Amino acid sequence: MDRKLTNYDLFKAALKSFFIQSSWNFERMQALGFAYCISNALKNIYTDQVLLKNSLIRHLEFFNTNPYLAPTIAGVVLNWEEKHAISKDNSIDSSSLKARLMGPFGAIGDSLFWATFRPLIGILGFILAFIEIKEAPILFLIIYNIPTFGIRFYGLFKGYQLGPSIIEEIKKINLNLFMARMKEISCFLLGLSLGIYALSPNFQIAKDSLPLNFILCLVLICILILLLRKKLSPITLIYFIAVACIGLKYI
Amino acid sequence: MIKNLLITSIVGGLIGLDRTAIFQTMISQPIVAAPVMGLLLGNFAYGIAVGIVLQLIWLPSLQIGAAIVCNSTLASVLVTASTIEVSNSLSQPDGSFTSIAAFSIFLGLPLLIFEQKLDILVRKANAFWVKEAEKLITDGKISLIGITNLSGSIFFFIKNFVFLLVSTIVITTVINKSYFFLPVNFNEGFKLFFVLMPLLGIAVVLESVLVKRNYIYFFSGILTTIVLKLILENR
Repeated sequence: MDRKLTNYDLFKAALKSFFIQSSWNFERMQALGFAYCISNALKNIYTDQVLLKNSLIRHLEFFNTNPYLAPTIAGVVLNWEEKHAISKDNSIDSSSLKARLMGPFGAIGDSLFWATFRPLIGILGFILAFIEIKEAPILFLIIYNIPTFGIRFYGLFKGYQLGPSIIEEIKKINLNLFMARMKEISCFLLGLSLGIYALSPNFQIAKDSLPLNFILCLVLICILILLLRKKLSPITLIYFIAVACIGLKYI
Repeated sequence: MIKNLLITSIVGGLIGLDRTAIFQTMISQPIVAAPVMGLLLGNFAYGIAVGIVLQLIWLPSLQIGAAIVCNSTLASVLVTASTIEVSNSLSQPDGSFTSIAAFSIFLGLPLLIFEQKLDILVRKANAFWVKEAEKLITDGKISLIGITNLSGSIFFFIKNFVFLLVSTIVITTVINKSYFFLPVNFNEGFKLFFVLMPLLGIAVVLESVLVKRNYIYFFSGILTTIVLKLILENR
């Protein structure tokens, strides 16, 4: 199939994906952002203004997915829009394909990025800042954004190249194992965080006794986890701790 | 004070856009947002301390679909700015920073609950831009879709700006007027509260990732710090 889109068109679409949530709303969620993301590319696909308008209006339907994987869906949609423009086959319906992809990609992206990768790098940033590395914020940003930027751009290019068969490529990756490993590393880093906290001179609960400090920290962590499992929110616990600390100083 | 207020509201408002509206590069995380504000307001150390305390607490909170979670970005900007402003105006020694920061967190949290309501209003209002985009496309003005899309982020920015402006004034005024009337035990209690906050953050993240098979990794982490400390001490 002759390509209508150049690498530059795809690159511009990937850049525009950074604004996919600019007009997020409850009615159509990311729809306008998605339409904006692929608008320039669609102008190159459809020379007929009526077809272009119809395509853009279709892409203003409800759409919501993980923002890092949305460019992959954009690439797949552009692949199908191009096929539709060339073959003029109306059975090629990129809107319904987009609707079928957004749920699974949202689930994958949210589990992978929000629930696993961001906490892992967040804990690492916390540790780096705690051990007084001044560049901690910059290191956190670099480590977090290299893979996420990569996935945005690579995902869009691959989605355009492979179309819907990209789903088969994603199935080959053992994401569950990958996420399990990241959670193991997160737990190790949390243990490191607790150890560094208990040993830090600025954060001593029991002064002059490191073993007692460790034990107190572990006991407090257990109590807090138990309270969290009783569905108490972090905000409630913050006030609970504040009141308890003030009360302790009166004893 | 007005200059610092404007810096807080404008820069904080822009950083807050990263959370939802644009980029999602995590510059909105407390570990970045708080030090950035600290640097701009003349005290990087206070910023980083606030970032450390607030970083983990809302890390596992997932803003998925229509869920609106507590805005940790605005929390970190607000607490950093209020703390620096109050510390400067009261000319307190550095040791009082922790009680002032803890007091800011204490006062700021109810305001964050109000901010969630504002966020919901902004997201409802943004539906206007989709309808505008449909009209523009129908009229053939396709090149204006970009401006229409970005206009949604203007609503988010205005919300962040107004919230930070009002909240910083409120918290700074309340602390300035009440700090010297607080009993000593309150201040000491707030200092202890600030010390314990990172533990809460660790507990929150641990609760979301700790399953039975991961206990070994958690305790290995603790053991690693003890071993490293012994090695460094015996050098």
